Amino acid sequence: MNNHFENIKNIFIDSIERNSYVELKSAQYNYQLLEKSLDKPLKMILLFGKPGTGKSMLLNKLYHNLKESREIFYFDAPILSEKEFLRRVYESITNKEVSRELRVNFDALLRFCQKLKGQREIVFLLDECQLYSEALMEKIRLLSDTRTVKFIITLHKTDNEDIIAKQHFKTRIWEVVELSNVSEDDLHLYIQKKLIQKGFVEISNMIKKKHIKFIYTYTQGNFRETNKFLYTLFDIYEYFYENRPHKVSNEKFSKKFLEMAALKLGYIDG
Amino acid sequence: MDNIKELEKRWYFYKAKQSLLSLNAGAFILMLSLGGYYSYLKSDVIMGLFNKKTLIAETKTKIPELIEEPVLMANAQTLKKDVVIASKNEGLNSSLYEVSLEPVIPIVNMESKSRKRTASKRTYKATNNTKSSQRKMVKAKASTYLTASELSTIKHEIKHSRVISRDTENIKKINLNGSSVNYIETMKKKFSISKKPREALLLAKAFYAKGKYSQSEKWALTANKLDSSKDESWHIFAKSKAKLGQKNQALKILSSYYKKSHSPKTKALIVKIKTERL
Repeated sequence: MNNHFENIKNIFIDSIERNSYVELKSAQYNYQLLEKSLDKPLKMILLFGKPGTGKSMLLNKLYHNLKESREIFYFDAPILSEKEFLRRVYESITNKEVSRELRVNFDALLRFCQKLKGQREIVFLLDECQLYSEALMEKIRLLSDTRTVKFIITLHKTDNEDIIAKQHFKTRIWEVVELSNVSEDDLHLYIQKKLIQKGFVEISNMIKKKHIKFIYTYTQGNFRETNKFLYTLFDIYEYFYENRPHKVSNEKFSKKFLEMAALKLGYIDG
Repeated sequence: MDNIKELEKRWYFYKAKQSLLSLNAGAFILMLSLGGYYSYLKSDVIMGLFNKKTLIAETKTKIPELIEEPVLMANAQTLKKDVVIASKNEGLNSSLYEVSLEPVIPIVNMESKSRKRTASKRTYKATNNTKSSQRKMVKAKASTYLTASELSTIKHEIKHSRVISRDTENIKKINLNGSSVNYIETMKKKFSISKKPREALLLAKAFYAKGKYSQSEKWALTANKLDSSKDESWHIFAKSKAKLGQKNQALKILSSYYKKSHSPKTKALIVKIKTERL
């Protein structure tokens, strides 16, 4: 007997894959704002919000949508080494591979970018910038001053907010897009769309508003928390479907399993 | 998989805890509502008892009113006084209460009344409860109209009550005179303390009224010594002298005082003594 709950739970594995992106009204608005900002003569654009609000997903979507029409590069994982970061930037701009033994001279890179002014506009998408060192952030700033290179950076709202507050960033970050947790209705839509995308319409229909309310009480509309919750929930479903299938209803969504998932994640005390 | 089993156990424990909590909450609400209901009921009982007590008290206080009210209602306003007097004279005569549940008016036996009228005048002063003064209370007719004989009885009764009132006034006057000895004594005490001409003059007046002219002459002189400007001290002194047979001396004193004071009262008194109309 095929256990479809295994596939369902995998839908909610936290990933930034393009095909797992769910179009929500709020996300759509933020995406359009970000896209318009790229057309403006801005040096840096800040995308910030609490963890799990969809920053990386939005950045990923932007990259995939614009990679054909623009010179856009996406650094999904933070590059902590300055040497590595400069090498990656140089490789992206020149489209040439630099040997690991060689080191990119920052001043030379800066002069190279200055020469390209007015000829090219290169966009770099940098995720998890709160992990970058201050020195590296200063170099990013200097590179953006050449007007050849434009940066869209994401930051966690709570972490390193002081960096943004610093004078040099205040003057350079011209556009700020803030992401927040979604509403209860949007969360319902998110879960439904996720399930329907993968063809689990019946399961999607089984989830009623009261179940969403229960989930929302603990996840507060945070995508990461919701994914974690639903993964755990369908993991429990999977177990019961395999071991005690009589306990799994095909018509009703189990409140017991919802509570068990909340217990497992520590949202409620057992 | 063992994790899920363990998780299920935890869930059962969680549910038991939750149901226990809700049970407690339910019991608490039930207790509250029962308490509220009980207190509500109790308040009803208390209120009921209270109402009962007040009703009893009201009925108790209403009894005398029930006795008197029909009497007043059945008779004309003019009769009200007589009925009250009659009931007072009867005192706590139980027969009055027995018959007074229905409209009652006093009926007087005319024959016995005419015979005993004079006697009753005398005896009334001595006692209020003599047989002659007692009236018979009879049941009145259901109608508020009175017969001619009844009306004549009532008119007569009104006259009789007036006589009684006059007699009581006389009693009061006698009592006032009877207290004059005490009055002189108290005035004397007062004068001994205050030594005021007013007390001396009041004493002179009292003695003069009692016919003790030598005393009144003495007290008038004392008052005059203390304050010679008062007409009355001169007047009582002269009147006392005249009463003691010293008419000329009295006239001398008054005429010499008249020269000073030119008081019209003094002049009138001089004329009275001269014409012997004192």
